Amino acid sequence: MAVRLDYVLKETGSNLVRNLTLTLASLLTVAIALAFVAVSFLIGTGINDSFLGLRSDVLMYVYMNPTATDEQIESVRTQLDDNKLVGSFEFLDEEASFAEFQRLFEDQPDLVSAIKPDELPQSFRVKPASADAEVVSAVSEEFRDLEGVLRVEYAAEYVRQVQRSLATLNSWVRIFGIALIFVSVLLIFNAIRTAVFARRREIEVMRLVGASNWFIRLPFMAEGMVQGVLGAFAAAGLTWGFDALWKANFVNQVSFELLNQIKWGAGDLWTAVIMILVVGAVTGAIGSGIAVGRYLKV
Amino acid sequence: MIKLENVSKIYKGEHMALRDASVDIDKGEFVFLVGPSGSGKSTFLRLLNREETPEKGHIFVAGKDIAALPGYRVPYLRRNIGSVFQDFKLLPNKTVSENVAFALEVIGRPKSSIREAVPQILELVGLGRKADSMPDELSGGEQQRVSIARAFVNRPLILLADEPTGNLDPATSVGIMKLLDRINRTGTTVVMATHDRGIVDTMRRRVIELDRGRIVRDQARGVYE
Repeated sequence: MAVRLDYVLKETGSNLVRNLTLTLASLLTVAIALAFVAVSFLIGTGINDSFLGLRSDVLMYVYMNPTATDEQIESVRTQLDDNKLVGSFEFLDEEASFAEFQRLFEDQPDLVSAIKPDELPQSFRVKPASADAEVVSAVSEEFRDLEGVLRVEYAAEYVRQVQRSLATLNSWVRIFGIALIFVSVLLIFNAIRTAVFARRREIEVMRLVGASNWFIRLPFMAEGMVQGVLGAFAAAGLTWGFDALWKANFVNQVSFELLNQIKWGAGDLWTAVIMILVVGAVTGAIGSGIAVGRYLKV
Repeated sequence: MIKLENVSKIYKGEHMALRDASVDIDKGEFVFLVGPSGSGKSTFLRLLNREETPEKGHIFVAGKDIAALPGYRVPYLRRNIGSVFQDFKLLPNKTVSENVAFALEVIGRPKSSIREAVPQILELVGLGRKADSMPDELSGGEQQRVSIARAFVNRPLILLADEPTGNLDPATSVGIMKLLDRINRTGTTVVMATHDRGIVDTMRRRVIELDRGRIVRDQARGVYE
């Protein structure tokens, strides 16, 4: 079969330029959709890899009820003393809690002035004997239901919560990206349909003189693929930029607790880029394939 | 060259465009299809290049049953059949020679053979000096010559013409008929649907008359009525 490459290139190129606005719309949508998917992939990888390291940091806070009596506080102190799973602990009274609070929010004077020392709960800062998650969890179980205890918080729990909400947020980003891929398919479909319509006279003549079916279809298929792949390249650029920004601003920056733990390697970046290039080409092929199948009678 | 055996074509399940038509056309014949509008002339032509498939019967072109031809072979059938229409179907954004060359490009003919064939065929149809004109700079008769050049440049065995003089004045029509006659004399089988009584009566070729899908007359050296 004699389908000449220069013919396909020429026709595909002129179609792309002829419908420049539609081409750009499809291309940008593909780029944004795939960038969302890639970023979500990277963050997802980062979340799964990062939080293992946080397990060792297992300070636990036993917060007392503001209305707790001195007897109740003393009782908790005694039990902490006696518990073999507790390594060391420290009592933070209202003044100490307030000092800690002032230290944490020193850049927000409005907030600091709005809170009075007796509005903050007193607490015990506990360091369990072992960093093992089981041990920490067991200690927390024992103190949670004591009289006068408001609640028990420890880093592992907090980390798990953050991890969970980040993962939820991340899956929304992913769903949004996948929805946009569907939009891309529709846009490419529409661009190809328009291109078929614009060239209906040529197509009619080609059919009459006996151009083969693939000869007629190929430039349109190629057009959809090019839109998908160019969009994917733009998305790869965006992903690269995101990677650089994330590394420069968050990774190992003390001021971004937790976020600074989300990191990924160069291998993950490459996986993401290759993935979106493939998805881009497939998106273009599907969109143009449907349009050619429906609107290009050969 | 062309053989129809009991061919029927039904549109939308009710309208019979062609009923039980049987015809035998030899290589090199010139055949007029006549009859009122809607009598089945265009359907007859569309069946020959597989634009349509019959509900009943067999159609043989160059010995092959084209109703049974798989879709991917249809383009190769059409390379042996040139088609000319009342409305020319030229591409307005291409010059005369580009229009003709397009027909060869899209069937994958090499550039060198296209460069050779196009000026030759334009000379044959008498448009050698208009090669670089755009279609809208030409008269109706000249445009039809371009479309004949395009249909014939690949030297097909069969030329189908659907009212090729329908949009032309009588003097211009005579010129077009002379051209089709010349093409016919090279051995190409020509089947032409027409309403033009004068042309049919002057040429005295085989006439097949259709009426409501039926062949009602098949006459060698016939007249319009």
